[in-house]
Amino acid sequence: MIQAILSWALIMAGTLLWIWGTLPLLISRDFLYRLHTLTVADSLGSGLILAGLFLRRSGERPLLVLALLSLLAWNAVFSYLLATLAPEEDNTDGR
Amino acid sequence: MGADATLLLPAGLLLPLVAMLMLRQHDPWQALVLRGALGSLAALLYGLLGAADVALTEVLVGTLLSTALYAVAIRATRTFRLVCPGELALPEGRRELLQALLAGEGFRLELLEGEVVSEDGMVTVAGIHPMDCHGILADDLAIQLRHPSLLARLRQRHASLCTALNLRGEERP
Repeated sequence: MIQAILSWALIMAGTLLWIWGTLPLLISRDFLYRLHTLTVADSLGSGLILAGLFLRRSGERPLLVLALLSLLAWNAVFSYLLATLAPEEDNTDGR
Repeated sequence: MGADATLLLPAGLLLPLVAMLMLRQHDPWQALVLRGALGSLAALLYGLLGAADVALTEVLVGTLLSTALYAVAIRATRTFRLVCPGELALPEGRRELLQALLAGEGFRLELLEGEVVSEDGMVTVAGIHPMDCHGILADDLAIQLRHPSLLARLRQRHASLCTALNLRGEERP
């Protein structure tokens, strides 16, 4: 019972973090700021959702751990790559 | 089974729609974003059908890896490198004009300055392959394009801008 409530709380917190991180995409700040909020909130939110699922689905734990590890590694690599590829003049758009 | 169909149908219908949108894009960056959406939708579909391992592979390879590789490839190929020999410099106004012209075709302008050398009869900057330089600033400040196909396309679409910028083909010895 406690486990079910805890897992729901984790999944809800993860979803809220997702929304909080995605909303800045709609405002016009510079590209790197938007990429930063998206990456941080996305990594944390996805991690929390996967932790919540880990408590609920005992049969698929290896797969969830694999998803969590690959997600953390890839999120960091991908956002670093996009930030490197961004042209210099785009860093100040919308100001 | 009825509940399954209501979950599967939106993803199943969106998949071909996004695929068609992707094929119709002219801007490679927008096509790349749609490619990511396509991969995510496919992963969602696989997950709904119960193939979690296939979905995970699709996300990692189809969405993340291919998007990363394509981003690097688009960035590398969509650059126009202009050689500015010695004391010649492109005036500010013409540089902005050229930038605007190239941006319309999805290219980014990069000015190459440094020791100018001649390799196989083609002008380039030391350390860069001649075919990786796409234009040379001539003595009369005309811009010589190395690729005739690019020149033809620019002239066809932006004839007046090409004349204003004094674009011309490269004279081969």
